[in-house]
Amino acid sequence: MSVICTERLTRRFGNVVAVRDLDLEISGGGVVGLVGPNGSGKSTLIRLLLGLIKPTSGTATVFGAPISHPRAYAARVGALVEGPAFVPTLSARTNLRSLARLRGIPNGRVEEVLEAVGLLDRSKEPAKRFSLGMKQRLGIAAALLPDPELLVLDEPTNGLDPAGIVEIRTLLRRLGDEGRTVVVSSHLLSEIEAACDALAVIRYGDLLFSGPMSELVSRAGGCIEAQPEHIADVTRLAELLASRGWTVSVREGDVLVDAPASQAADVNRAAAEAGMTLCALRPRNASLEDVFLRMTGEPQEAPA
Amino acid sequence: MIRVVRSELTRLGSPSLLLGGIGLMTFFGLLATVVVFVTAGSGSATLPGTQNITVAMLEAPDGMFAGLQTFAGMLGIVALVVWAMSATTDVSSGLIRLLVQAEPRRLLLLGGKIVALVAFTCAATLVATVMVMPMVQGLANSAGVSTAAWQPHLVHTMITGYFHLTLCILLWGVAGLCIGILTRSAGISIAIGIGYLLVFEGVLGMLLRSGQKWLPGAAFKAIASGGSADMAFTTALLLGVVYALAALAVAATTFQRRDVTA
Repeated sequence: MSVICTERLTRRFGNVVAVRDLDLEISGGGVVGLVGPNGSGKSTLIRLLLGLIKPTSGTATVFGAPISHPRAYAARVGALVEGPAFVPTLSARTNLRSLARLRGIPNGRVEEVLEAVGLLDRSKEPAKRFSLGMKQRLGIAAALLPDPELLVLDEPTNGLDPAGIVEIRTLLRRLGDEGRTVVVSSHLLSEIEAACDALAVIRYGDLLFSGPMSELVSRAGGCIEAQPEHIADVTRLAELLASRGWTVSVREGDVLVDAPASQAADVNRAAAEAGMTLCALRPRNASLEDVFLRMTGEPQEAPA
Repeated sequence: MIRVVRSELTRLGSPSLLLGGIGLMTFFGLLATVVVFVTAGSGSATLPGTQNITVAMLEAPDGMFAGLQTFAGMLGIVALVVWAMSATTDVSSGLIRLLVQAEPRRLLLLGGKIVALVAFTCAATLVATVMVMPMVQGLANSAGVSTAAWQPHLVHTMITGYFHLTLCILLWGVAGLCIGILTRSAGISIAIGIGYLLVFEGVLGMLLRSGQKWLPGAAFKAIASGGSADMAFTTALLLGVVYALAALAVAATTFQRRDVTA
């Protein structure tokens, strides 16, 4: 049975369509990435699934129960939505105890989740004294409180230092390997690539891809990276290659040509004919980032 | 429901709410009592919606509560702020996301919050009353107020005085909760509460004249005083309950239907 299933799920805020006719199915177990630029509808989708907001149209189920009745699955779901939220003057432990009491969870579980996120030693300190990274860990601890079968984490590594990111990634992998379903939304592709088994790509409310990560990368194939000798020629080269029928994108002074390595000579010839000298021309296997850029047509950290 | 109340009480144990709620209520209670006894009969201890306190009123059997009753609106504003902040902080901190996700029955969440806030307010009013009472005898002596009429019914007067005062303060709290849920802003809620008590009801009263006694502030004050010349306690209490039910209906409908976008 699908853990999450949406059918033509739509949510509008005035004239803005945050989620549009979304058909998405997430099976149980493993870590699933929910990827999209900022403002792409990831958080809105998560809010819809958790029953925090109501859909404009369409339906969705979590563990087979409709999202109009979130009580049916609330005890099986833990979530961190748009950053951690706590009473700043209360200690980490008291904050978690308050949430544990709401869910009818014994205090012993609070100690377990504090240990799991590495905050046991700092649990007596008021949450307001915590760094952003520690607050993020506390948010994850709150999500883990019900020992959830489905864990939904919205940008869980925000504010974490590299070591913290690796720790959280390891934690997510462990939770996924234990058989839980972990849905991680992020606009940071490296994070998704390292932690997830499958992913769903969303842009402005539209689902662009859903499936195993390997399928997405293999489907994308490779590309050719061409770097003109003079940086001023980047735009001209991109326009030239586009006019010859290639699909191109520009990134950090390079022109990425959506073509197999066998066409590298053709690219070089076209540039030379136009009076441009290339100082680098190399075939590249597509990374998740390349695929994402091609799918969404914009940088991964596009403004909302 | 018990789970929700326990959870809410845990959060109400926040030092800022304890100090802000119980501390401020006690401070205003002490201040009001001192002001009333020191200025008794001079006519200077009046605020909009309050009356001049005479020595004869202080010498009445319930005179020990005159300060708290006269300035009940002020204590009510503290409750209004605490109740409004309890509602708005959940939103501004984003905690509402966790609460609604953990307990999707929103009316149960709201009910639990109200029960917890009632308990908190009763405790805060009790602390304020207990702190004020020992001081009253000394103030009466220094102001030349006879306390002979206080003694025969001391316990009964204290219990009924506390009961009436608490009812009044709770009604202000309910108003604060409703405003807090509607506005989702602690600042706006406080401004509306204070603005209403100090300005708006006074202006409205001037327009309505004979109808002034039916306004919330006047009705709540009549409850605090155990009834007034204009309105019997039972009538005031009924009116207060009607206002409270209306406010709760608005708060519950809004809380139940509104998207959690914080």
